Amino acid sequence: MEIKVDIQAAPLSLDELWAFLAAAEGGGIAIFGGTTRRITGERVTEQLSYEAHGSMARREMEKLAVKAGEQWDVLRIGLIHRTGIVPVSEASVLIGVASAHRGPAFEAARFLIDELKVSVPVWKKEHFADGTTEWQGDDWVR
Amino acid sequence: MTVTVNVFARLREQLGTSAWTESVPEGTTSRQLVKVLSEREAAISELENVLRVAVNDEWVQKDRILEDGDEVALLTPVSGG
Repeated sequence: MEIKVDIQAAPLSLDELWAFLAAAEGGGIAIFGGTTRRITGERVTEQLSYEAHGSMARREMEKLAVKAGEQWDVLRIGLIHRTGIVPVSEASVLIGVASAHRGPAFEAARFLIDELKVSVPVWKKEHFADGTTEWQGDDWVR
Repeated sequence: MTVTVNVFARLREQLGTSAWTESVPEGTTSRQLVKVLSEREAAISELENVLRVAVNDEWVQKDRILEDGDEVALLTPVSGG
């Protein structure tokens, strides 16, 4: 199984991820994109920004990909997280899985984003339209 | 011995720095290091209950014994993705 993980400040490229996954020549590709949401409850977001413990984040994402590969029959996995400012509607994270059949691709992708959110050392800061900012993450989920 | 302490996000902002070196006695555990830092910095003390530690890019338990040259990261609850 091939794995590609990265943390980068540049905008994330769906095309590059797709090309990497398509090279597996499987029958299904599942991609999840986490994007900056405009409205949360009553609060309006101007943008998000992200900070990472880069070297450790890459290692943790690699470990997650290995775990996913042990649980599902998949061919390639890509996980890319963006740092710095992520404007509304842009992706902060892309998770992609290629497999021979669609079931494992969907399931592994779900697992990967759920696990990334609880274990990878990246932090999100909300920049609200009213000018206030707020680091997210008051407590550990697990 | 000397270790490097790395902080991120809210803790980095509150302390006004992302990294510094600490001289600690041989045999210091990550728990003991956090305790020492808590006593010195209110920002660390306030977050002490939710801080986790990574050494050289790996999550560690608080009883992990530190070694000379270790990169110790104090991590607040993550919020990536």
